[in-house]
Amino acid sequence: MTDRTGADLDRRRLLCGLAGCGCAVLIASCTIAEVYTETGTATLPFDLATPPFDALAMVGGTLGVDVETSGDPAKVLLIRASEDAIVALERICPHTFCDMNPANGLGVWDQGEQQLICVCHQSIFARDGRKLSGPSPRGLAEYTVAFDAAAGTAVLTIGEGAPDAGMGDSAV
Amino acid sequence: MTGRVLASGAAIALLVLLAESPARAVPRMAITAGSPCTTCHVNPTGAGVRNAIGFESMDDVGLVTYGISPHNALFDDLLTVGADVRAIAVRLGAPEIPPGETEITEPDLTVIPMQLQPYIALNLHETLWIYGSWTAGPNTFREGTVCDPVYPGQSCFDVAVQWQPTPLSPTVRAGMIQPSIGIRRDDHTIYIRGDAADRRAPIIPPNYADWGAEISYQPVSWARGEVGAVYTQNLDEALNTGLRAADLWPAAANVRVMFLPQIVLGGADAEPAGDFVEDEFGDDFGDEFGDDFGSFDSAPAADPFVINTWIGASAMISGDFLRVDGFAAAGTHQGVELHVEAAYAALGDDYTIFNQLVGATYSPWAWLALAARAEHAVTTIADEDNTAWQYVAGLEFFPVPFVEIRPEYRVVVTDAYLYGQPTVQLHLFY
Repeated sequence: MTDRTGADLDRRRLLCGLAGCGCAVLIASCTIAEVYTETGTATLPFDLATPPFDALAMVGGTLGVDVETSGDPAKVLLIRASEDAIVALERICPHTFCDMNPANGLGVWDQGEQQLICVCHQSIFARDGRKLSGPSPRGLAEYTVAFDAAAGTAVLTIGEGAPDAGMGDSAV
Repeated sequence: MTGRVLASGAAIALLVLLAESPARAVPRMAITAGSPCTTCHVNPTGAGVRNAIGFESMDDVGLVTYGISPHNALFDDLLTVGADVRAIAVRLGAPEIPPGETEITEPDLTVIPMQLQPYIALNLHETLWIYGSWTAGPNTFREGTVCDPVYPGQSCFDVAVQWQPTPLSPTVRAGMIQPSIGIRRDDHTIYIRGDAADRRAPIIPPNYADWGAEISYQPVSWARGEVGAVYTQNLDEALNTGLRAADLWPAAANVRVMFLPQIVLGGADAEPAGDFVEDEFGDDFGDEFGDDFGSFDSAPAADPFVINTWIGASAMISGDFLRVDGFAAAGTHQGVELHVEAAYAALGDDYTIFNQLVGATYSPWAWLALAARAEHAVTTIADEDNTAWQYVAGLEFFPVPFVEIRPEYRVVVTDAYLYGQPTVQLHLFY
């Protein structure tokens, strides 16, 4: 029977511990990421005189639309933010993926503050999609809307060329 | 006096039971040691302030040890203090391809405080405890918000009066308590109490508590049970957030039944021979528990192989909310442990949750355990499934007593993405 000294045991324990931690760090030093949904491109022309887009005829009006694209459908919230502007924002909150559609009560557009509030966990986004507060890890993507207020017509563009004003803020 | 003798005897017996596996972190501890949660925690259902055995069993567990720490029991054991502090380095969020882009964007690596929870317990009489804790939130130190729950329905404090007339009688606890629901775990990232449709808002959040009372009773070593009721203030908040809508009664009732049979293989005929050599604890339990604290001058012919097992179920009901948990586990004094748990919850007719977990740990040394688990969570809302898988493998490493570093690699697979990332939890406890 081998009699090991305390020093031997301590050294062995230390080496084993350090080796284990080293292996763990090596194994754990990379990430793997795959995304199964991909937003493609699409354009959606619409007329504010035609339902359901007549919800945008009044300033402060909102409408959630699901737009077919070359990829997965895009869930978009259209907001008549002012007389001459319609804003289009990503409608799924990046926090827990609540659908901020005012029609189902999970999204509230505050016309006075020009803010979109996710009712699920109170993330608040600016008109351009920037995250203002709350647990969302980032802001919302903003899509391009070419709006002719005089004619009451608009074209929503999803995908290529669309800005993503809110994506820079990744604070938790 | 008799009570104290019984209590001392029970404490020594439990200490002996724990002797081979002093570092089995919750709930690994209980199943490998074959002892209930109350062995190490004041709360009979586990978690929170650690009693003398709980403290002492971790006092020399570390890759590097430095002697005896100042005890957590003060003033002749009248006052016991403790704390859990936990933080995680993680990329919180999901990878995605932002609209208008083609590359995957990963969340930033960030360090998130998960738990800062000091405990205090008063042992007013050998039969009577008052204990509680407070949980700090992310805004507590930034903005001075004393009560700042992170999760809907989380309580920023718990407090209980606990009375056990004799060491073997039922225990009654009343106050702001967490009812016995399945197995209580210390890891906030486990899905079993979560919701695949809203994974950052568990339906039973960490540190969930409501005002109520519960009776725990373990009449025999192999069976125990709890029954209780709580006022559904915080539960209502947890179950009415996001897409959830549950119509609760003012109170919720809960019950848990648990069997803890111990399977002993071999060694049955091993009779000790010779005189017992008293150990440093002066006990007279010898080696029948396989401990290291005493020995016969002529060793038994063979040590039995002991498998501690749990099997149990719990239910909680209030209005149109029902949650049922089933669980089973097996562990040995050699540090091997396997556990499974399944939980079903219904919030009305259109919102159901079915989560499952299987996990295993192996602890070759007291200061190190290898752990792995796989989880599956499904939330069905109006016939539409939201699914999440999580696979976690890692280490529970105690470099020094009362410090745990938990490096893990976790892979999350949902309907929208797959994301594998390393995370590290730092856990300080006392």
